[in-house]
This record gives sequence, structure tokens and C-alpha cells, in this order.
Amino acid sequence: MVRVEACSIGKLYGGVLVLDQVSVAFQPGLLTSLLGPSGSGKTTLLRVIGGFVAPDEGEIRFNGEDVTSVPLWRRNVGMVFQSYALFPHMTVEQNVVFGLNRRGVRGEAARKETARALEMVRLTGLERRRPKELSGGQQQRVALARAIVTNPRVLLLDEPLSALDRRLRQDMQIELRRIQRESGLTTVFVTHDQEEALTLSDSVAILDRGKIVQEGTPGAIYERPRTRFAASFLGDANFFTGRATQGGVETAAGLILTGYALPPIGTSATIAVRPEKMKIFGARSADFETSDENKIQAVVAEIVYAGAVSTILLKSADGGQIKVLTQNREMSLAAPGECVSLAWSAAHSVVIED
Amino acid sequence: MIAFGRIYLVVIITFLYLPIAVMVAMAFNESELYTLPIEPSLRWFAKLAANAPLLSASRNSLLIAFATSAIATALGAMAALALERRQFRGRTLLRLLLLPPIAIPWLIIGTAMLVFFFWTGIGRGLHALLIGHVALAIPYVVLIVGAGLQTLQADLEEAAMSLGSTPVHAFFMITLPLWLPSVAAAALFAFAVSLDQFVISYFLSTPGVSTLPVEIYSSIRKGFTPEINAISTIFLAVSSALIFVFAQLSNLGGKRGSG
Amino acid sequence: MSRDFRALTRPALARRRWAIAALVAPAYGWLTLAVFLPLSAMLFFSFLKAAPFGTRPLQFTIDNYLAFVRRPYLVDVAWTSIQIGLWTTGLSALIGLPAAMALARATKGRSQQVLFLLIVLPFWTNGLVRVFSWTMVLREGGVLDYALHLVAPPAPPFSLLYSFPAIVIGLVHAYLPYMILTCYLSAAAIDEAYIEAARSLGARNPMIFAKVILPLCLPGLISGSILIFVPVIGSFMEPRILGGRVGVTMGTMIEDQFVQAFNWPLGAALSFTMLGVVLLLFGVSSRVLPRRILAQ
Repeated sequence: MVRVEACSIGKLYGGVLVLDQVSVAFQPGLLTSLLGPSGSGKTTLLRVIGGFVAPDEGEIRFNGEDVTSVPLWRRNVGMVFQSYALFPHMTVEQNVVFGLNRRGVRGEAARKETARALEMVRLTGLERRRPKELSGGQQQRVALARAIVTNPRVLLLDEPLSALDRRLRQDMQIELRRIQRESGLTTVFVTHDQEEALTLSDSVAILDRGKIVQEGTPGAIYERPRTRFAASFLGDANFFTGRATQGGVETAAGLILTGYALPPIGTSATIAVRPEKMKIFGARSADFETSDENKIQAVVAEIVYAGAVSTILLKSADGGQIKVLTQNREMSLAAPGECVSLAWSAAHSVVIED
Repeated sequence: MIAFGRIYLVVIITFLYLPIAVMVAMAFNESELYTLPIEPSLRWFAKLAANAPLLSASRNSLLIAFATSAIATALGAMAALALERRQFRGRTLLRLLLLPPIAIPWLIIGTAMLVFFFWTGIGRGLHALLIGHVALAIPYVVLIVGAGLQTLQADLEEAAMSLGSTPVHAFFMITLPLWLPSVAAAALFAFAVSLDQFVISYFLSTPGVSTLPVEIYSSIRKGFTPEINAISTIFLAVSSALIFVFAQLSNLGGKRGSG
Repeated sequence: MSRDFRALTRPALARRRWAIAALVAPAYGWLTLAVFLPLSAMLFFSFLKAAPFGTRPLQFTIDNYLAFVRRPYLVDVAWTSIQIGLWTTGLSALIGLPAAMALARATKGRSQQVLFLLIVLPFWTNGLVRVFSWTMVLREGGVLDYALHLVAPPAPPFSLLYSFPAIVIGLVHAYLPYMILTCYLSAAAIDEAYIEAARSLGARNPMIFAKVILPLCLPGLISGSILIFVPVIGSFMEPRILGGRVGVTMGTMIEDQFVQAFNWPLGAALSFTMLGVVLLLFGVSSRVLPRRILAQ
């Protein structure tokens, strides 16, 4: 299992700094997602790691060894392209065995490896088909099998699920996870879909405009986003901005208490609260007793019903919009126009840099 | 309305093929003066075999067409690889430079070639004809081959390289096989362009060395001989066959998004 | 940004430039030798009094470009050429647009493909052969004459050959497929939704044709017209074969200068004058047309 490191990678494209001093470590055997909007540099970073493009600055290391100057065809990486890039003039078997042949593995040994890889992606029996005879999901699996059969040092996936429809996508996410765990390959996964990143990853690195914004496990980043960008890109968040005081922030909506470290008293500070961390108490709710430190008043603007959960949009005292996500355990907690109280604990008030 | 449209199309097609049908019929007509009705005969085809100027011109046409096809395809394919696959300054300019040979009336290009070749001592004849034909064919080749390259996914070569292919190996194993139908189509097209070329050939031919279209033209100007019908019919059959094959190849190679 | 990235990328860039140059040089070198240098040479010639072969010193003049002023008959010849061009283009448009629309909208699938191929095929057969075949039809004793006598036996021998109409017929026959092709590409691209929308707003067929179909076919008409007009005004083969003595056009005049009169400077000047007209037409049409064609 290989430890992959990107060290201070810089890349310039036509005057634009696409990657700016980017350093990330990819733990051996784990799946790390590079998450970010388009233009954030995540695909470029992936291609630098693979050797498809050379960085202008910095190094790539596999297990400590500098591979930056090793050309793509000798770097032993496995890449699954967004378009799958299956060779249309070859069968599934020929596609998968291609890399093995290049490494000198032929004949019976090659066939055995190919069969094993196809079995791992659950495509046994389709060896003789051509790519154009396969469905999107099947093509994707072939691309995966082709990438992993050579036991590469790192597996790179460039938004591989973006071309699939929703149901298939969700199924493939689970499949992908299983295959990755079974193969034990260090995996780098590029996506702009935050839900995908949360589902699949052992670790997430968020990129914005060529810089790493935050790195960590999905849970850590989600519960403790460090910047406004990280808080908005991964999930939703309510932001309250005001002046820092002792233990909290004085905002137009009220005093927000937090258990986290604050900037110096008197300076500007922002707090982010996840929508599902807020509880609604109103005219119809049974209890109002809560040990939550934070309570503010708000007026319900709209309720978006989605079966298992509802998103409630409210307007706070200072006119700001608040979003609350709640499970529909009881029927109608509130109705548009009603005045309600929102409560959440100080532990869920996250201090972020703006 | 639809029926009317179909009838109209049939009328148009009749108009397009009428003279050709007449000519083909006359090639098999016994009469020397093209008098109707038609009496079937292979007389003119037989006479054709003895018509030295027409035969030698036909040989030249075929020779030049083969050579043009080979050279223009090679040169054009190389240029297309650079123009399609790589970004570089001046690419747009180079693309625009492909337009003059096609857009400028052949009369002007032909006379310009005559002038320049005479002046520089290149002269007229087979070599001059070849230079001219290849120059005319190159833009078409680049266009066809370039379009073929465009339909190839760009990341196929990358995929091969990620699996251990050197760039050269990837080109030969992946790009070339997929590209071949377009290249073949372009070669055929260049062949047809050369075979049918008249204007440039006219200015670059000498009395002893000419191509078939030029020879036919001279014969017409001198006076009708029915062998012209015969050779034209043969010519027509060959051109049609070529274009038919070209159409088949284009359909195979040019399909977008195949896997 | 204090870091310098360029040092790392320069050698790789240089290697790439060499590779590109090597790929492109042979083809463009050939084109330079065969097209660009000759055109430049001819431009040079057009400013000379006499062709520079022999020992006389070079004399420069713009007389050749003033030929239209010095030799008034050239204006007639030019006018004939333009007339031929306009007639050919106009008739091609008149005949071709309905054919293209019929092909695009009245046929489907397999038959559409076959018809398309049938229409395009003639224009890949030898142009000379086709013009020649028209002489079979138009001449005295030819098909038209024969057909006429079938209907009206006492009529005198009929020949359309060696006349202005013959030239136009031959040219229309040769270039019609161009117009049908370009108009077809435009017509086929018309989304059925536009027509349905117009119908749902209450428009009847003539109005739909005038306001929806025709404007959308306009690019095809214009590019077809250019594709036809440009070669036609320079044609000399068809006018000579089908027009005989009547067939005196710019094309035949220019050809004469090079093959008969050996007044190469004049021929060169006439050629470049025609080229100027052609470039003007391209310039005007590219303003009117979308950039699709140039974008290739």
C-alpha cells in the first residue's frame, strides 16, 4: 500500500494560477476525495499526481520517492476517466488486459488476472463484448477493472459517476467503495458532488480556486468547517455575523453562544450553524424545555416537504434567512407566518473564518 | 404536399442524369453521327483500344491520381495531426491558408502555376501535373482527416499511456487503427479529385503529355469522335465506384461517440 | 507572484514546437511552392509591361489593370460573365431550394440517404464529361431535336448548342448539386418545433414558408450562391464547348492571354481583378453568414 503525497504543487495555465502551493497527503489504502466547484483545480491536481501533466512547481512522492519526473507510462497509476475512455476497437477483455500486456504479463497469467478483475467488478461473462454494446454502468465497471488489474500504486478517479443517472449513481457509489476496500489501493477521487464525497471518502480535501481550504474526515469537516466556503460547499449552513464578546457573538438576531475559541473581543466574528442542529419550538410543539444555550425568534416563511425530512425556511429578527432541517416525526411543526423559537446548543455554533 | 415534393425530386434527378444517360447510350450506339434510334454496338470501345493519345492520357491520369493520393494523404495527414491535436500560436492562420486552393477559382491557380513553373524552369509535364494535383488535394485531405480525428476521443491515448504505453505505442495501437477509415476516405477523395481535375491539368499539360480530361477537351474542340463517349463512360463508372466506396468508408469512420 | 515557472517548461515547449513544425512543414511547403509562390509571381507579372523572359530590362506599369478602360470590349466580356453568373446562380437557387426542402422534409431514412447520394454523385463525376454529354442533347440531331421531331415532324432542325442558354443550362447542371447540398444542410437543421410553434400561433403555410423556413435557409442559399457564382464567372470550359463563338467570358479571355496571345501580364492582371471580385464577395458573405464555415 502506497502513501501518496503532493508537496507544494504549483501549476500555471495561461497566466492563471490553477494550483497554488497545494500540499496534500493521501493515506495508504484509503479513499481521499478532492472536492470543489469547477475551476477549483481538483482535476488538475489529479492529473499532476498521475503524471498526465507536469507541475510547474513542487513534487509528487510515492512512499517518499520523488516521482515528479517519472513519465506517465512508467508511473504505474490506474486512472478511470470521466468519459471512461474505453478502446472502442477492442473487446472488454482486450481493454482490461492491455495494461498487463504492457507490463509483460501475457497468456494464461494475464487471463487469470483479467478474470479476477472482471469478477471484482461483477462483469464476468461480458469479456467478448465491445464497449458500444455495454450500458453506461457496465462501461464504467470495465474502466475500473482495467485500472485496477495492474495493481497500480494509486487509483485515480475523475468524476467517474457524473454520467450516470441518480439511482445507478447511488448503487455505483456503494460498489465503488466495496471494490476500493477489497483492492486496498490508495485512491484519489475527484468530485464536485458533496454528497458523493461524504458517502465514499475516508478523507476529504476541499479545494477552492487552486488552494486547499480544508482537509479531514467527512465528519470532521462537516461538523467543524473552517471557512464560509467549506461550510457552504459541504452541506448547508446558517451564518450569523457580529461582534465577538465573552463566550459568544453579538449579532442582529441576538447573542449567539459558542463553545469554540473566538477572535479578540470587539472584532468581527461569524458563526455557522448546520440546519439539522436547530430545533423548532412553536405554538404546536409539545415541550419547550431545552437545555440548549441558544434561542432566537423567527417567523416561518416556507416549508419544503420531502417525505422523510422537511426544510423550513424562516426569517430571523434582523431579516436574515435561516434554514432548518427536521425529520418529520410529527405532522406539521409549524405553518408559514407563524412565529417560532429556534434552539441549538453552543457546541453546534462553529466559529469560522470568513 | 409530400407527394409533390417527391415528384419534384425525381424530376430534378432525371435532369441531373439525363445527359449522362444519353452519353452512355451513345457510347453503345452503332451510328457514328449519333443518329437516333440506338443500335447497340461495342464498336467505339474497340476503336478506343487503338486510340493512342486517349489511352496514354488515361494512363497518365491514373498514374498521377495514384501518386497524388499517396503524397497528398501522407502530407495532409501529418499536417492534420499537428493542427487538430495541438494548440499553438498560428494554428488559425495555418487553417486559413488551406482555403485558397479550394476557394480561389482554379483558372487563376492554374495560370499562376503555369507562369511560375515556366519562369523557374520547372516547366510543364508529368512532374508539374503532380505538383499541381497534390497541392489541390492537400486541403481536402486535411479537412477529411481532421474531421476524423475530431471524432476520436482525446483521452484514449492518455488512457493507453496510463496503462503503460509510450506515446508512440499509444499512437500506433489506439489512434491509428481508429483513424484509418478517415485516412482511407481521404486517400480515395484525393484520387477522385486528381482524376477529375481539368483546369489545372489543362495549363500544365504539353501536347505530348496530358491527362484524360484535357485530351477529351482537345478532341471535342477538334471535332467529335465517338470514342470520347466510350472513354467517358468508363471514366464515369470508375469515378462512381470510387465515390460509392468513399461514402461507405465515411459512414464507418465518421460516427461520433462510439463507446 | 515572485516565482518563475518558465524555466522548467521552456525545453519541453521547444521540443514540442519542433515536432509541430516537422509535421506541418511538408504540406505547407508544398502549398507554398505550388500555390502561394505562383500567385505572388503572377501578381508580380501583372505589373510588368511584358513577360520577363529574354534580355529586355523589366518595365513596370499599371496599364494591365487599366485594361477595362483601355479596351472597352473587356467591359462587355465582363458583363457577359456576370450575366452568366447571375443566371446560373439564380436558376440554381430557384430549382435547388425546393429540391433541398423536398429532400429534407418529404423523405426520410433510407430513401433520403439514397436520394442524397444520387444528387451528390454527379458532381463527383468528371465535369468535362458532363458538359460534353450536354452537347449530345442540345445539338442538331441530338436528343432535344429528336424529341421535337417526334412531336412535330415538319419542324426545322433544332439546335440549342452554341448559344447563351446552352452555356447557362450546362453550368446549372454542373453546379446545381452545390446549391441543393448547402440548402439541404440548412433545411435539415430546421427544428420541427419552429414550424409547429408558428402553426400554433395561427400561421398558414405560405406565411410559414416566408417567415420561418426561408430565413432559416438563407445561410444555405448564400453559401450556395457563393460556391456557384465564384467558379462560374471564371469558367472557360463550358462557355467554349457549349457557347462556341458566343461563349466569350472573362474565363476564356484570361485563358486566351496565356495560351494564345501570350500576353501573360495582361492575363495576370485580369486574373487578379477577378480574384479581387471573388475576395470581395467572400468578405461580404462572411459578414452575412454565421461563422460556422470559417470555424472549421
